Amino acid sequence: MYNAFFNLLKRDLRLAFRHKSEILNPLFFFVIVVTLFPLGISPEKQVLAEIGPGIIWVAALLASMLSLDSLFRSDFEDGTLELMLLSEYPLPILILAKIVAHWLITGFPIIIFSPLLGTVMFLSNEAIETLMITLLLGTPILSLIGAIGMALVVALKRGGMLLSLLVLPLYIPVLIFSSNAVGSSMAGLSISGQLYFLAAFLIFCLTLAPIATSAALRVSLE
Amino acid sequence: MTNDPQTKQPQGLSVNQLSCERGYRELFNDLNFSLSPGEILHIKGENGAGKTSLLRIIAGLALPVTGEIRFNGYNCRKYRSEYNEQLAFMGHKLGIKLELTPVENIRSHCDLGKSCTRQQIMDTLKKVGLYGFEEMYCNQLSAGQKRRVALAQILLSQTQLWILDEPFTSLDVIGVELFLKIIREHVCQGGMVLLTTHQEVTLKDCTLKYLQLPDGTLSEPE
Repeated sequence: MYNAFFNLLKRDLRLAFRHKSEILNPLFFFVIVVTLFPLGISPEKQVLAEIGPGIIWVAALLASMLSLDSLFRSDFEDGTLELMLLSEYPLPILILAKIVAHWLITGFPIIIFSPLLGTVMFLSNEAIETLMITLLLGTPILSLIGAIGMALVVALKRGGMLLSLLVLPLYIPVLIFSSNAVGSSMAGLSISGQLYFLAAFLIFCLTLAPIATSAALRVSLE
Repeated sequence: MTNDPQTKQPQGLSVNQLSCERGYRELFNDLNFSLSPGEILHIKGENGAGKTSLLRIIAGLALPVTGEIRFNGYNCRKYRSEYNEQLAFMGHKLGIKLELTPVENIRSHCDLGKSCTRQQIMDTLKKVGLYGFEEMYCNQLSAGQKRRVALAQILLSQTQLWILDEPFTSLDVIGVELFLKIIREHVCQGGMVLLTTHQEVTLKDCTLKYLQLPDGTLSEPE
């Protein structure tokens, strides 16, 4: 079973590296959206530091949502998803492998690039550190919740709009606690409460989202 | 317990009182048949008679309105993992990743079931006539060659029950003959094959049965 998990993870990563746009597009999207705000609002240090945490997080949210399509779409179209459903291994384990691969491809690069964008937004060093921690806890949640939504719409021809309606409301708690944590650390306040909440939410999603996603996939492929 | 389920239960696949609807239209009703090891069932019917739906229901990808499917005596929906261990499925979508080579495709398919060595993969590729194509990406292969990759996946799955939906599509005459030969070998070793095709299937020294949809009458070749 562990072999099935790691081999599927490896396969998805190999596919992503053969299709580099899958890795680069969400990252470029993230960077460009964040850099648009200083141009559109004001390059003032005060203003940017104020809105910076929220903007970086909203951009991460949208980048993660736009990349969800790659999670199941191509597997659905060429039939490998059907074969996965017919595997003798538990479907949630295989789904979890796909979600982990998706996070490594889309979420992880965002974390790597976030200090750069934090600097652009004039965040303090502590705030950048907090931003990275919240992204580390938060982006896996985005992939996990997004997988449920994507599994529900994968069989639809134009599911993109529906996907955002399904998934974005569920992203709201992550956005609130993460940007609040970054803002609090700018102000020198304690952030342990927010981080505990994010960690708890991550564990909650990690245990239940693969099961919900498998159930949704079985319905979608019927 | 005195009654050992292994000895008492009938071997093979049995389908009881199956009915299926598609968009408020009844495709078939009260379908009953069984398939024992060493038998081939050729499902016949006009376009839209429900052949693919029937195969998807038997594979466990779709839900019937009523009825149940038993394999070696146990309910397939309840013991999904045990059933999937004995099942190989080839649908309209082949489950082949275009960005992977045939070897990688077969390997990732094997990772979902029983593992196989590189030597086994190479031997099977040679057997299905893809010698020399193993390191090419599948998007450079023709439709018939992709079908042969899927055939190699089925061959290496080491399962008892093969469910093949229009397996001869886009294969050339030699390919069809090869496929029939492989089916015959499988059946002679105690395997079971369920297939739909519009071609006439002629197999020497094999038990071949026909199932006519939508009325569900069973017949044998004269």
